[in-house]
Amino acid sequence: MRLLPSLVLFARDLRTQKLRTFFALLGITWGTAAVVLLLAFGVGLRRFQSRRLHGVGDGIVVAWPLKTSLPFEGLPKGRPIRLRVDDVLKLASEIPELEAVCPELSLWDQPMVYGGRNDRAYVGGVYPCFGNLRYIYPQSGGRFLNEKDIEQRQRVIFIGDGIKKELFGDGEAVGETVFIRGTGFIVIGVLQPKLQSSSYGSGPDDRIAYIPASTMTSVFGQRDVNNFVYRAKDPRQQAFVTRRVYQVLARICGFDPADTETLFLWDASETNKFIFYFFLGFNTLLGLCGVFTLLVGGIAVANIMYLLVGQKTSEIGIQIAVGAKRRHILTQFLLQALVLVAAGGVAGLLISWGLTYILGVVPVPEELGVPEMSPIVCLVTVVLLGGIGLLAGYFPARRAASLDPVRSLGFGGL
Amino acid sequence: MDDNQFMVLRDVTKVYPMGDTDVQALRGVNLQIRAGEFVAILGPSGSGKSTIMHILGCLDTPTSGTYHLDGVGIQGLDPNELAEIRNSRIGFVFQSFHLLPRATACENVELPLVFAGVNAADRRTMAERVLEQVGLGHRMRHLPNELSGGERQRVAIARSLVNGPSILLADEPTGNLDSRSGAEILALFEQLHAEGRTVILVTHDESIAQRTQRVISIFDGKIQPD
Repeated sequence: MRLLPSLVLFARDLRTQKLRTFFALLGITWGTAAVVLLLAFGVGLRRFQSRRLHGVGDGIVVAWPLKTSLPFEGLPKGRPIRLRVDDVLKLASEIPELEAVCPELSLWDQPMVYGGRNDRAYVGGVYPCFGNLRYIYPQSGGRFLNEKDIEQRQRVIFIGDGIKKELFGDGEAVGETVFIRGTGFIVIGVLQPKLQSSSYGSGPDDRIAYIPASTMTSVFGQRDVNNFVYRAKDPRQQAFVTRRVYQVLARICGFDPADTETLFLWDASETNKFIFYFFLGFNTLLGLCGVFTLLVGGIAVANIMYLLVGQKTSEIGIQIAVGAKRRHILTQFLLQALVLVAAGGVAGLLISWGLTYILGVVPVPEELGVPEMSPIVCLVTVVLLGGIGLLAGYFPARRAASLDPVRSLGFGGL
Repeated sequence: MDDNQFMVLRDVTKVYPMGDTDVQALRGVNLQIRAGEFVAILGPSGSGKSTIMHILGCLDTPTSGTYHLDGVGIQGLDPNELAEIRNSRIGFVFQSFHLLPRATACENVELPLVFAGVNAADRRTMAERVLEQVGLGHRMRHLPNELSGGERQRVAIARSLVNGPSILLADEPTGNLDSRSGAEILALFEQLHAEGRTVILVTHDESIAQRTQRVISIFDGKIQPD
């Protein structure tokens, strides 16, 4: 209640400074919109890139067996490591810290035939847990491989949406039979289209087909594991789990556990870290650009407040004479600056909201992502506005509160 | 010291630094004023009479010497304590009125109540009552530039009275007024004194000083013997 009259009088004071008030408000509005829009753009871009990155699977490690680089128990270096499915499955029972591990048998460039149409694609022989590790999810009406498929060596196949389009067009694929080198496989599922920026060896997932590993061995005679994929239960234990993988395989295959050349590792969580820091830096930079614009608006507000303090010296003197304490004068000018900044801030937020809404509706290049006014962006902006309002108000207010009443009433000391 | 003394200045000096030199505004002032007195402080321009008023009104503090108001030593108090004393016990009236130009008569009178923490509704009622008391009941919603000089000074007097202070300090209150308005304002001060307030008029005009009970002459920063 006590602050209300001060604001009413403030509004009347501002009427004497219409042009300056207009430009200060414009500055704050512009600055707010700059901060919000740049950050919204950054958040949208980051979300898009991060979804693409996670298309291959989140926090997974892919390992390829290579050759030994150290002699071991009388055997020379340079021996190729050959892994069988059972060797990899043993990892799951020996390392409780693993969430899942899945061997992958590989056949490249296989001819696939359906009716009169044909295509060529990579075929992976995998286990059911592969789906969760690599974010391979079926479209509705289909499924990924299950345990029964493995046990009974079913001739079933899960195909990428790219292959499906090539072989079936817009027709239904599930339940149909696709032939690979003369053997028929029943389609059990089609991949949900996904964003994916990284893949390994076998190409993007829309161009991959999967069959049970056991079926691949029995039908095509494929026994050696091309690679295996694993993920730790706790991402912080990834390095420990990887050490254990070397130890267990070294015992099974007979190599030096310190010989890290035996496996080539691709750790997707490392890329994760990179993308996190990259976008942290990128968004900080964008935010700083906005902040500087906002600072210019803040300086305009401080300028008005200094002007008013100068103009109203004798009025401040009267207030002190009739009993205003230092804090009364301080809060009065601080509040006025905050109100001015808040007015510009609200206008800026409304404009940004309108613009992000429009950008969400009109078509923009997909790679840019969709600008998003996330709660964190709004929170950052409001905190910035508050800080700038306090700064813009504090210094003029401090000058006002430290005025000497006798001098400011125009007695000049005598 | 007489126990009846309400405002007591003892060996008060005031020095203002002005560039390289110091200006000696007061040179050892001793002065006692009793509660309820009607006093004029008379002196020419630059004599130090305004400085005495500022010290008596707790707007300023002495460079040396002591000031006791109702038994309380003023020199040890901090600015906030001085502000409280000014707000609750002292009313100021200035030669050039010193009203807030963009606030109505009523809002100007409410100002001291704002700092006393009175709520808006009570402020309005109290301000209106005092404005009626000084004969401005019909001008409450006017801005200062819509009022005559005499009316503005009445608004300023209403503002000085609204917190119910026991001391009124007026610095050349009729200096900017025509003789008729000036006479009315002086009559108002006489009435306020009659109601029991301590009224101190600072003036250079001997004829105004003669309207009071006691004239204190000041020249060159010193009190002249009565």
